[in-house]
Amino acid sequence: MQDNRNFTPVFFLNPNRFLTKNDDEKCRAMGLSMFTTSEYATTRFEFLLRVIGNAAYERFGTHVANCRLLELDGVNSKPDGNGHFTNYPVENHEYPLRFVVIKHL
Amino acid sequence: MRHLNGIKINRLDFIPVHLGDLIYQEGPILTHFSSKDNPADHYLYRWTDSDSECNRWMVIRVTEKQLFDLLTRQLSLFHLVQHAPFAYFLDLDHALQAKQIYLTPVSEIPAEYFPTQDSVLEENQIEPYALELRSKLRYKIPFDLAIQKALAELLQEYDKVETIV
Repeated sequence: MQDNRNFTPVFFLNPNRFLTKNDDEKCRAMGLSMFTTSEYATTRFEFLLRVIGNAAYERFGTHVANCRLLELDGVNSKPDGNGHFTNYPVENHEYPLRFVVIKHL
Repeated sequence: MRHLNGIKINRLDFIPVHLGDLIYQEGPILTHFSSKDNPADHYLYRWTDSDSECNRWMVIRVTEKQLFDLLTRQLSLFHLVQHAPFAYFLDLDHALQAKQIYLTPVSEIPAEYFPTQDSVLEENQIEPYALELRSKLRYKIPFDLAIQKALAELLQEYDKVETIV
């Protein structure tokens, strides 16, 4: 849980990667990808695993963790049909302390 | 990134035109391109690997029919890769400049770089662009089949006429 990559939006992990991207893609990259249920997260991961193989573990991680998000944690996009939404957390959030691993992918 | 066997080349044999993402998760995973000079040529860019400098993309050329079959779950991504004569591997830096380009026979592609055999594009996992593309192709491909059927029927009629004469 303490791995810096877990709760850092991809934009901030490597801003250079987004130099050529449009504003919509930059905006999406400034949030954290989350799912409303662990089933949705697992289904999505398994799909990506079929498409890109084991590189999916390196790119997206190896575990599912959960947490009850509160209104004061930040702003969320509306979940899509697969339960995916983007969370834009407030500064100094304590996600690494609050999220709990519930499943090994 | 993994070592690749293949021929290092200086540039692709087409000028890529980005059309849209078929799969997207914190960045593009599978993207549709065409060729600037031959817009009817289709290419799939599949994210494969990365290091701190570059993302590696596997590029395969596909026919319109293969693309349609992929989007209608009649073919898997695995099947398309396995039946491609070769793949390009593009190492693109963050400014999208190609640092290395390999032309690799399919037999030399590392096993880790293959999708799994059941890599079908499930409808609820693909991007809106993929659904739009599927609709466009659905109009084109069945139309061709309809013409073929109508022609076959016409020819049958012609045979009857000939018999009467």
